[in-house]
Amino acid sequence: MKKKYKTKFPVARIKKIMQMDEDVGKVAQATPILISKALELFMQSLIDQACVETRSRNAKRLTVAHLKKTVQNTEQFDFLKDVVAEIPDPIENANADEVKTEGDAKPARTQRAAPSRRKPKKEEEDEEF
Amino acid sequence: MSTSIDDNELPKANVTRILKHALPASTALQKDAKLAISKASTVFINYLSATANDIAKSANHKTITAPDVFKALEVLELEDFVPKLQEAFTGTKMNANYHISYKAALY
Repeated sequence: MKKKYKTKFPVARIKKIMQMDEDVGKVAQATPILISKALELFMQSLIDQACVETRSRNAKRLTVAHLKKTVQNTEQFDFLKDVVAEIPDPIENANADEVKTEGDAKPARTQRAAPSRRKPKKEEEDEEF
Repeated sequence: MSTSIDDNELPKANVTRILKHALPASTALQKDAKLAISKASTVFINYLSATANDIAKSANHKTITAPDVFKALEVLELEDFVPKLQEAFTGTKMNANYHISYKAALY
């Protein structure tokens, strides 16, 4: 049983993107649909690989830095080198905005060198009059 | 070279949906990362299309067909995708051997 969630991309948009290349002429009806599916698989693959990087850094958020690293390290994603080149070099930004992390209640802050982190002021508050 | 035309990016909603399913439950996604993935997707389409186009040309047909795309995936060393794709397309009328010139390609 395959999951049937609608993640097909709009056929017209795909065709438009394909025809951004002047060289590309006519496109069979099935083709954008096929590419839509391939795209899905590609994105999944990219995320999977990038997640490996994310996990290896004990990070909770997949960032562009992880993507960049993944692209650079994976031959399959060679063609994405230009895309990630635009991304500024990874700064281990510890001053991240708190994004909701689903199902994760532990305040597990990884102890990386992050002086700009908010210090837990709980102690002080407890001692308030 | 940057031919980044925003108009030709994929709709955010679709991208978000796929990413949601793709990410493990414990991992969130940086906002910029989503944009990057969206861009990467456009590039992927271009890359795949250009390759499929070359294959179509060398086979002497003007229209890019499904078999062309399958071949292109192999050329790009993405043959891992092929079994799943074929699975998705067998039994539907969008069979790999089915190709009609897209009349609307004229517009």
